[in-house]
This record gives sequence, structure tokens and C-alpha cells, in this order.
Amino acid sequence: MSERQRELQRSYRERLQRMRAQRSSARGKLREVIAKDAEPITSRWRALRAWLDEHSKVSYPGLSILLIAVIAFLPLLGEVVDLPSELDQATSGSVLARVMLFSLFALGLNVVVGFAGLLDLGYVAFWLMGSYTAAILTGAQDYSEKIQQGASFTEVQEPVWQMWMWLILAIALGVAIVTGIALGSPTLRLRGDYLAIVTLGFGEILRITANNLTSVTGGPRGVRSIPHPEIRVGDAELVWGTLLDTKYYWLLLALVILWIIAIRKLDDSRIGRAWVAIREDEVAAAAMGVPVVRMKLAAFAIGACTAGVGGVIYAEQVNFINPPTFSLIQSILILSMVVLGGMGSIAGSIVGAAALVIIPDALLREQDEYRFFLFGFVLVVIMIFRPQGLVPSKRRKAELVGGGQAEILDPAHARSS
Amino acid sequence: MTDDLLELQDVVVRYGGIEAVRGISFNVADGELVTLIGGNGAGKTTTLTTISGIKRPSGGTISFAGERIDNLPAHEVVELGVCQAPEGRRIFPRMSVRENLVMGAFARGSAKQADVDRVFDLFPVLKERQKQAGGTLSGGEQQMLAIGRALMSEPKLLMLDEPSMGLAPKFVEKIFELLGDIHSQGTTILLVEQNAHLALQIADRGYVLESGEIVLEDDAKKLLGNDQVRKAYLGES
Repeated sequence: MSERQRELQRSYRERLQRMRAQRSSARGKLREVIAKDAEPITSRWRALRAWLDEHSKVSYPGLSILLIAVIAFLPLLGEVVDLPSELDQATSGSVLARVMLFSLFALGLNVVVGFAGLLDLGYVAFWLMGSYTAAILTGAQDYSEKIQQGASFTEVQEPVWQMWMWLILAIALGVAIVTGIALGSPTLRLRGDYLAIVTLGFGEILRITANNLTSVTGGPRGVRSIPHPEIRVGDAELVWGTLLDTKYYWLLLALVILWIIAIRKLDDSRIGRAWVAIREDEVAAAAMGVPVVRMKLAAFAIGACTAGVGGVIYAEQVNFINPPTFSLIQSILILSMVVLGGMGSIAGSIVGAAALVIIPDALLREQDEYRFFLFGFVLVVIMIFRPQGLVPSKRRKAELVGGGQAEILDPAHARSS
Repeated sequence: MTDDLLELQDVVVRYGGIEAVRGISFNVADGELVTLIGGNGAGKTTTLTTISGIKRPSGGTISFAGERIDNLPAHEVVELGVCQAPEGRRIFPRMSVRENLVMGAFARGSAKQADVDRVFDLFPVLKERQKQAGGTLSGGEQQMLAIGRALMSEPKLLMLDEPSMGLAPKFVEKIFELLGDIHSQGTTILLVEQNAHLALQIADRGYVLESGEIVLEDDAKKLLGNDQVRKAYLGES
């Protein structure tokens, strides 16, 4: 090899080394930037929690009670301080009651979509079952029909609340579960897109049936005068009524709290683990002895009964229901809440519901025509920049952002928050 | 034939109109290590998934410890003590190594620390990586995890579907060595393999599967020496 060749080789090697060094340092910098970008929220939050753990004498149960108290106080805020009109609207009883109603629905759908990973586009069907169960069992449907046939208001008695009607809540819960299982057993063997389409069809079928089955549901004219609930114990009474949305807010808040406790327990249980396994790899889950279809049915039934209970309260609050109330867009709306908040995240469901009720109802009242446009736009933006949702569950975040965060997957921290 | 742990009789499995398994019969005695060898599409994996109850046979009977299991749902088969490390490992990629193992004990109820420790003793590398997500392990480690996960169910019969698939030779040998250990500790094993040479070396008996039918069965050592097998599966002429 000549001197010249050796020279060339050496200079080439040097250049290559320089390039490699440059590239790796650039990559290092890029990694740092990405890490910085990804870290702060979680690390700051973790630091805050650690700080709280160390410095506060309040325990977590104490904190949650405080939080619940603050949330329960929200509708009264406007009476204590002067709020700008938008905020006043946002904290009004009617908007907050809607937030809680949809929180309940989102919590239920989150079990199906977020925990078990089943895409259900016909969730409104179970809401419909709950509402119509209430409408028929309270006698409101019967009354509406008589009025429709020309009976005078003095002839027939408007339905009133009776004590046993609390049973309706339990019955509606049962009806929704049965509906969920009836839909689930044949369809849960399907996967992904197919399940989504079948559930979508199911939601539409129930709505159209409610529209056409006039003798049972009253058909397109709907059902009116569904009575408000009451609790009477001796002389003490607690009455819900037409303009008492704040009371409905508290009732729904109580249900939401109950549901959060129950769902957290479930998520931490054997069933919760089975759901994660099914979501990760259905075949492997079956090979490990997870009764896959039964576990999916359980998720479906839990989601369904949540919507059934919500449906009863909804019917009682608004007094009037008709088939168009339960259109496909409601299913999509609830699904958007779950996705926006963060699939598999309990806190996320509530944040999602709050955002998608308060923003259009309170903040965008004037821009009503643009509502769905803005809605779609926000969803697209969120999916691009924060696919894991606003308040992601830790596990789901790992799934969507890419696995490998071992520390996140440490079982001690891995429950969805 | 009372000491047969697993017995298949004339089992037929169809995918639509295609018969993937055409009436095969074989048995695995308690404490044995039996291997099913055969090339691609011979019906090995189908046989395993059918025993697991994930796929239903369209004919024949499968019995485990004297009881028919061919009409039981998959989770009940696992509860009886038949567990498989499925083809392609199929670990849960976003669960930690420890969570994967705990999932393995699902059919028994809950996992105890002692059970996890036993698997860690067998595969020390899993202990090092116990908090890491399953998907971040190397192929060989994932295979160990898949075997460890199956062992967590304390199976009476452990079924392994191509544990050597896609692994470096070094890892393959390591895995087979460990299988030998597991077997010598008293677990009955049904091993499905394409790597006939290695499988026959650790097995007691072997069956050769071809196009859904058993064409040969013998002691493993004899199969190793069999001309037909040598030609077809051991790459010798």
C-alpha cells in the first residue's frame, strides 16, 4: 500500500470518527430535549405527591373527603361570590348535574372500552333501557297514553312517586345487565371493528324499536310526567323537583362516588388483572386460564348497569323522554369523554365528561352552530398531541406512548388513577 | 394404560373445510417428556391449542387423567393443570416481568411470593429484570418468561410450543437444558418442536407428525437413529 493510500485511509477514518461523534452528541441532545419535554408533568406531579406525603398531616382519605366537599359545594359558589357569567353558568346546578350524569356514563363506558378494551359504539342503548324502564314502571307511559287519547287531566291521575319506586333503580339495573349480556353473548366473540359495528347497530335497533313499538314505549310522542324521586323518613323529607337541579347534582354525585369506589376495587381485583391481560393479548390470556368471554361479558354488564342507573335518574330529572334523545351522537359523545380524559383512567372519565359538558354548555353558548366543528377539532388536536388523554392511566400511557418504562409498570404504582 | 396423563384418540381438527389434524392418537404418561416433531404445517400447534381447549376438535376424544377435556372451555382445562407456553411466546408486553408471572397463576387464584421465587431460582435473569416491561426483554429472556409464566400455574402437564423459535443457538441450548431440569424435577412435558435434534435428545419418546397425521412413533433415542427422521428433520443425507 502506498504512502498516499495510507494517508487517504487515515483521513477518511478520522472524518468518519468525527461524524460519528457529532451524530451521537446530536442524538444525545435530542434525547435530552425529548426527555425534558416528556418528563416535567409526571415528575413534577410525583414531586408534588412526595412533598404532600412528607409535609401534610392530611391523609389521602382526608384529602378525598375535602375534595368531595369542595365539589359538592360548587353549585352554591355563585351565591357566595360574584362570578363572571360564564363561570356562573358553568357552576349552575343544571350544568353540573349534566356533568355528573355524563361522568357516570363515562365511568361505565370506561370499564368496557378502557379496562376491557372493547369498542362499544352503542352504549346509549343501555341508557335507553334504564330510562324506558323508569318511564314504564312509574306508570308515566300509561298516563301519557291516556292523555294522548283525549282523557282530561282531571280524569286520570298523574303518576306520583311512591316509596317502592326506589326498587325501579334496582330493576333498571337488572334490565340493563340482562340487555348487556343478551347483546354480549353472541357478539363478544367478535373483535375490534366488528364488535364496534355490531354494537353501533344494536344502539340504533333499540332506538328505532322504541320509536315503533308504540304500545309499550309510546313511540315518537315519548313519555311525559315521569315523577321525581322523594325520600320520606317520618317527618323528614327530601324531595327532588323540576327546578331543583342542584339536588339532582348531589344525588348523581353520590352515585358517581359510589361507582368510583366500586370500579377502583374491581380494577385492583382479579377481574381487573384479567381485563389487562385480555387487552394485552387475548390468546395468551386464554392460555393462562382467563375465561375470556366471561370476563368480557362482566365488563359489558358492569358498563350496561351503570348506564341503566344513569338512565333512570335522567328520566326522572327531565320528566320527558322520547326516542330521539337516545341517538347515536350520545354514544359518540360519551366515548369522546372517555378518550379525551384517558382510556382506562377513572379520573380521566370525569375530567372528560366535565370538559365536554361545560365547554359547549357554558362557555360556547353563543357559538352553538360551531359546537360540533370545535368538538371534532379539539379531539383531533388531543389525539395528535396527547393520545393517552388528559389524565391518563399509567398503564395505558405506557401502552400508547410506547412500552419500556419499567418504573411505570411497577405493580405498586400501576393502578390507574 | 391407567397411568396416562394425557390421551388423544382419533382427534380431528378443522379450519373451515381444511383438515389440519387428521385423526391423531397419542398419549403422554405421568412424568414423561414427550415430543411432537414435524415441519411447518404438520399440525403441531393446532394439536396443542386443541388440547388447551382454545380450539375445538371436530372429532375424537382428548382425556386428561382419565377425564374427557375436549368439551371443556379453555380456562377449565388450565384449572385442571394443563398449561401451555404458546407459540411465539406471547408474553404480555406491557406488563412487568413480575406481573406476567403473577398472571400465570391466574387459574389457581393468587400467586404467592414463594411461587415467584421458584421461577426466579430457575431463571435468575428474570429476577434481575422483574420490574422491566416484558416487551423489552430479549427473545431468549421472553421465552424464559413464557415458560416461567406457564410454570406459575403449577401444571401437571406443561406444553411448550416451539420454545426454540427465533432464538440464537446459545439460547436454544440454555432453554433445552432448563427444560431437562424442569422435567427431572417431576413435571410432565409435552414439547412441540421443529428442532428435532435437540428435542429428541432430551425427550423420552417422540412422535413425528406430517400433514396432520402421525407417521412415526418411538423412543426418542431410536428416532434419533432412524434413517427417515435423519433425512427429513436432521438435515443428513
